Amino acid sequence: MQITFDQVSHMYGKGTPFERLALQNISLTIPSGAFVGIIGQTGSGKSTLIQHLNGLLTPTSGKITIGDVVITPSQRIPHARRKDIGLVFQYPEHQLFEETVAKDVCFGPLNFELPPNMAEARAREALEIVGLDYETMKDRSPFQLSGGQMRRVAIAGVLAMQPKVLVLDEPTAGLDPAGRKAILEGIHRIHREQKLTTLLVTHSMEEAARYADLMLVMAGGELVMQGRPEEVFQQAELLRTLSLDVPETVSFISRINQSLPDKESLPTTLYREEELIAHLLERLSAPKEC
Amino acid sequence: MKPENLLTFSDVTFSYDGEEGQRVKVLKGVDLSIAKGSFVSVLGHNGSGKSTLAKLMNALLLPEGGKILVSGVDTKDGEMIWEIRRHVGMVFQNPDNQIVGATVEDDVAFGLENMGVDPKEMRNRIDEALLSVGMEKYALAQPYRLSGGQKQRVAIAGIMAMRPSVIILDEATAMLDPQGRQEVMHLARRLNREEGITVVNITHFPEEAIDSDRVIVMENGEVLMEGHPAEVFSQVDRLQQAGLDVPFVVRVRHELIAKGYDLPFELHQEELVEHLCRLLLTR
Ligand SMILES: Nc1ncnc2c1ncn2[C@@H]1O[C@H](COP(=O)(O)OP(=O)(O)OP(=O)(O)O)[C@@H](O)[C@H]1O
Ligand SMILES: Nc1ncnc2c1ncn2[C@@H]1O[C@H](COP(=O)(O)OP(=O)(O)OP(=O)(O)O)[C@@H](O)[C@H]1O
Ligand SMILES: [Mg+2]
Ligand SMILES: [Mg+2]
Repeated sequence: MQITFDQVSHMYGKGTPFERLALQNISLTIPSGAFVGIIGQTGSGKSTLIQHLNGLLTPTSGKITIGDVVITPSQRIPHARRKDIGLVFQYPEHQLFEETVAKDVCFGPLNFELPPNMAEARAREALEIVGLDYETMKDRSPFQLSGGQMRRVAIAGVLAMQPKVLVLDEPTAGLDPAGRKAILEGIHRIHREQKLTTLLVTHSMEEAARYADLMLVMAGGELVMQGRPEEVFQQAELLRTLSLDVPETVSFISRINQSLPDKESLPTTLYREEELIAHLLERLSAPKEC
Repeated sequence: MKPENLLTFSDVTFSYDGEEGQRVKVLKGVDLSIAKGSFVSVLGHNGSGKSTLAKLMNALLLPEGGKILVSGVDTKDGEMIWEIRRHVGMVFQNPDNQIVGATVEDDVAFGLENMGVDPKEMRNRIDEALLSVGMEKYALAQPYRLSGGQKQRVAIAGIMAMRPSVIILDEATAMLDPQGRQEVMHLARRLNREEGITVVNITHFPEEAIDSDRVIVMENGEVLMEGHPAEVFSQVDRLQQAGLDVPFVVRVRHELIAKGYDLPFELHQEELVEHLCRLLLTR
């Protein structure tokens, strides 16, 4: 589904002494089927921005469209359309609430009136994607899990809804390296197979570089940059002033290029590790020109 | 001279209460010691027992079997519990859950007030603690205006004001942006080097462990490996099998030597780049 923001602002605590303008005149277009990486300093407005997509927050001014649904300060997203938008919260403990893992993951599908056996099938599938075994986890309380296990359950709960728009707020924070990789690969696979529109908020420049076809950079409640990862990561200095960085591959390449003669420079757009390694192997095996 | 151990675990077991009353063993006989003044990183897959280990270190949990000593004091000694908690400070993931004060200095004062420190001494300790984390200019700021990294530094100041001997960071950088992460790691290193604070950094980022004195790797409630970062991270396949990973630099070298190129083991970008450029220029 195509998503557009037209001059969207959001003020927390409007009319109270704690007023806080968290989004300022955001306009953007996300084409249907895009995988969007959202980066920005802590407090820059990333969570505020994405919570507008499933009706958790409504804009203070401006207009949002998701497919044919229009959201304005006075027009909320209809209940029946909410199941199309799955949001994984930044803090899993804000999302989990049932007594058992099985009930928690089945909640979305049951709530949108799927028969129990189908809801369970979806829960099994979703838990498998996040690397948890249904049988061993189903009766456990979601609140008596390790941090990373809790996060996995929260992600599974959203995947089980099979939404059309998948919104993930720092889904890999607290996951171990293997879990990070497996879960993002799983999400990326579903994204492609089911032609989802996916928004991934992350503090990992590597994740953004690897999966995003469009990146949004937030700073102080404003959208300050957007483009393909290779465009955004050309701006290393600017990113650092925004409390961000480039992927480690990019800083590695620029360090190499400082020590090589200009004509031997490596391309600076090899931001995926396997591309960098393949390129290095090629250079090392090629006969030296000149 | 043998360094003094600040924390020792001898054959420690721990279980949580499961459903229907059965106990689920999550630490299965852990032996480890942490030297005074050292910087130790703890890695391990989700559910391997890292946070449980941390909570046992400051007597938030007590061992089921075995023994834990903090500066020679058994954590089971009920009379010493507050003393142990003052000695062993903890910082958690979520920066927003750790700040309670209306201003930064109120927040740092919180623990001191609970301890009944007198007002003049309190003033000194707050100033000193904020200075040591580089947040002295923000003493009167409202916490919500701070970045995530700054909030974590304030949480660390709250601990520093208690004059601790150990700070445990339980994934304290997990929710931070790249510069915030660096900010907190630099601070932890500086407090370790300059103020002699022992640091235990629990993390899923292998890069954060590169400059530690020691790395402990947990797997299913047991210590899988421990040693100097170079010893631990040279076992790439073993770590990856345990659901973990090695720093970027180690991965790159690992892939290149697998294809027959000769590169020495390094943990830092600078060194690997130097060797690699030599190889690229002399091929
Ligand atoms: N419920 C709230 N009430 C008042 N202010 C809020 C609320 N939630 C967030 N804010 C403020 O709005 C701004 C944007 O917050 P937001 O959570 O969107 O940032 P973020 O980019 O998601 O940060 P992080 O990387 O730390 O998750 C911040 O200054 C924050 O303090
Ligand atoms: N309150 C609890 N009740 C029952 N079991 C628990 C509780 N807390 C943790 N566990 C279990 O104990 C084991 C160890 O958990 P712990 O939180 O120590 O892991 P961890 O290594 O910190 O994991 P993570 O990387 O996900 O934070 C896990 O299997 C977890 O499910
Ligand atoms: Mg957020
Ligand atoms: Mg933990």
